[in-house]
Amino acid sequence: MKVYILDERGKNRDQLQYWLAEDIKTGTVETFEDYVRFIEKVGQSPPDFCFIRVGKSKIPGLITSEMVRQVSADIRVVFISNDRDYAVDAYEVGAYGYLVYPLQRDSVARLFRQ
Amino acid sequence: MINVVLVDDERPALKGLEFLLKEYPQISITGMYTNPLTAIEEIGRLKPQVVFLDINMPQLRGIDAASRILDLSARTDIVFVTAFDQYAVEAFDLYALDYLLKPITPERFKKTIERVMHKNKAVRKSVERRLKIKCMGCFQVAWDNQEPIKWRTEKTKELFAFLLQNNGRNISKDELLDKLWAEDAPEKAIRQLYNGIYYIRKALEEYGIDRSLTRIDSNYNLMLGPVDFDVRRIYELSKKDMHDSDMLEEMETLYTGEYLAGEDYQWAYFEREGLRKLSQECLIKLARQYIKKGYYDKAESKLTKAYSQNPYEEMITELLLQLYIATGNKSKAVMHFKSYSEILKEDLGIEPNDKLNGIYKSIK
Repeated sequence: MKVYILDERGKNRDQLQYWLAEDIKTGTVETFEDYVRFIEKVGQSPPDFCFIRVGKSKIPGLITSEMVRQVSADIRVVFISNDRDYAVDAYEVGAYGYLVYPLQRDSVARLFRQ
Repeated sequence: MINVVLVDDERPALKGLEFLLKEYPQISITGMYTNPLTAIEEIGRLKPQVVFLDINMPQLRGIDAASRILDLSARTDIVFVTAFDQYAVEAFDLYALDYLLKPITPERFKKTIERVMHKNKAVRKSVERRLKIKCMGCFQVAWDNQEPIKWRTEKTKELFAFLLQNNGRNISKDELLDKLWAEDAPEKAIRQLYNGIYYIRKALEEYGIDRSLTRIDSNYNLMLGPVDFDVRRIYELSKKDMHDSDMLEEMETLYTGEYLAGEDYQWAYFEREGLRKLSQECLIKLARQYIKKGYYDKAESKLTKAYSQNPYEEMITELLLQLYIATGNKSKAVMHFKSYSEILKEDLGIEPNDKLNGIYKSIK
């Protein structure tokens, strides 16, 4: 399984990357800070899951998620944010999940259980 | 058929949903309830594919109702319908299929239905209609007899036209940046490119043009499916036997104007010249055939059209003179030769060639 994370560097992202690596067992978890590099990689090598940060001015999360969906409707997009304000928008763009920092171990794991 | 149940404590809200669902004959409403407790019991029995559920009901919170519904009928999808936005994160926790804010617009509702259909793999029948992409004369992408796509910016339009010109070929990012954003700084240009691709795909999607018709892959290769694309048809025809007058006539009707007329794209120059040349050749061949068959009027009209596009081409004048002689129209031949000589002199500073002079002398 291939998973990409688009978020700024920091403890939160490290934690998510660590947990994801545990959950997916086999595969890779790659991280990106720049949405252009990220979307380029998605185009070249589409992942199964993307975690995209919303609510940060440097990352246009909602538009990026639509760009991902344009590459393939099969890629599951999960938003991550400091607040709950974008959850309705997340539904609007057809996101698969929405996680709020600080993350709960189980809320990450259950994304892969469905 | 997809069975759905509607739950809202306000009857007008139920009526509103029912009205929106009327647009979708694939969906059948098997129950409408104002009391969530009754609804839950019934849903356990009906096991619908989808429940549209209000969140704020006095008897039971929608979020709690949803988890009870899922206990009774695990395969049922929940679509929350609410005036409040603060439960959307919980909705994700419950894997709700969608979360609709009241008042619901038909456009937003359509998205919900598309998700329902996608999930239930219902066969969507596409209506037989053809997509027309026109680059000769003005540049347009449109369904038959419908308004053409409005591009978000001039640059988006140019990018699409460029991809179209190179359809079926991988284009490097550098080439794109060089051809379309040569004056911008690299970082800015890259962002413009990504946004451009995004807006093109979005426009195509909003216009109902799916990937089987146009698709841009990761190498910026625009792949075209079964669409009517005038330039592609012109090239197809030009590769075939060009003695067939039906094909020549079809080609002539496709050339409704210059390639991307009115657009000042530098990268389009050679394509425009190439197509112009093809059109000239087509008109000349067509005229020759008409002359052979004795359709002199038709031949004259094709030749004068070709002449107006490119007066310097000697072959056109030669054929016109021969045609006028054959039909006993000496005065027309003389007039044409004079106008031709003047244009040559004024624009290029040269005289008509010996052969044409010879023909002209034979008239006098």
